[in-house]
Amino acid sequence: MNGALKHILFATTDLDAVTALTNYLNADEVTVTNIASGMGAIQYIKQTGAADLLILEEHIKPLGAIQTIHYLKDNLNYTGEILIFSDADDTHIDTDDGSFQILKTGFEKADFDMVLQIISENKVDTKIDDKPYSLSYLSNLSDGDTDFICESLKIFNESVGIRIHEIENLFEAGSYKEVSNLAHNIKPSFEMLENKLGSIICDQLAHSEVDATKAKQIELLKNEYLKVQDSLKQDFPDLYKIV
Amino acid sequence: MQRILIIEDNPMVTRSLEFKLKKDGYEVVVAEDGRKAIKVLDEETFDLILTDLMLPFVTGTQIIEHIKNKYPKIPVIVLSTSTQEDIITDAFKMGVDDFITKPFSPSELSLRVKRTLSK
Repeated sequence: MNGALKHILFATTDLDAVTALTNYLNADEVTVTNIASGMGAIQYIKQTGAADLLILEEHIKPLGAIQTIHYLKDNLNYTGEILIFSDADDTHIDTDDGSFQILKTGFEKADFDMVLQIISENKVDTKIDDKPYSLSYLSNLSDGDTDFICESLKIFNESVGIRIHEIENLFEAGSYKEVSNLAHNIKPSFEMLENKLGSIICDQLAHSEVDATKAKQIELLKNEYLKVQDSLKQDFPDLYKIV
Repeated sequence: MQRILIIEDNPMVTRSLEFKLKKDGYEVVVAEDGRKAIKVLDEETFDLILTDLMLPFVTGTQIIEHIKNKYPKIPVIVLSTSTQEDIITDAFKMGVDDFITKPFSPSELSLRVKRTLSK
């Protein structure tokens, strides 16, 4: 599979299924975020936008998959790919919002292949801009106050850079809980610059168990930070002038 | 002028909160960790506290306990990420007045702060 890291949002309380899917997929190519409720999935999508694939457990609390889909379609105009995770014998579930393919519980190879096919086709418009950041949140917050925006960008550069360096050191030292805490701390900074990938990686480090296998995600997080920094250097060279 | 204490350790979030709340006409004091928060609470008076739940040295939960024991009349708004549902529920059980998701919506922040202060 070529291209950018793909993202699957898996709303289920079946942690064995999450582990099975995560283990099957190549972590360098696909990242899986687990959310334990339909409302959690809605909140997550509101914050980070559409995933390449959303998988909803049929009876996920509190709304169930069908009502969750209805909310997403009706309120957020969600157009991303959705599978319903179910033990039903059918291949599809028909709803007022369309027909949705079933991903069977107790995965078999054909189920994994279906997931891979969907995310490889990447029908989702993930709206990845050329720039790895956006100033619209900061601009909206400050009514376009340039001094505030520049100050915030400086704070991003300095504080997130320091934190990522700390994350690398703590990870090497095996202090995984502290890695999670720092990822949690810097997640809003990526969100304020509307950097989706940075936010997703932080969220995963913060809310799933960090262990030695997460080295790739930490490397990706650092790369994403450096991408933002390079882009800011080009757009705001004055911010980097040494006085 | 009403005084608000922000207890938050992400400097970008802190600066944004400070900017918006000052613009809304409040006096703002910032404590970037739990120890500083407890010190400033003992030295100054506040009309409202906005606090993160994951803080260095003293956790947000301990801060809330401290506030509710020593300054029960000061309302508290929790600053949180959306994925901390269980922690938010616990915070409400401890008597917090409201919560705001980070990064906050500027208009939502203004409304929630105004509403909490007017209770």
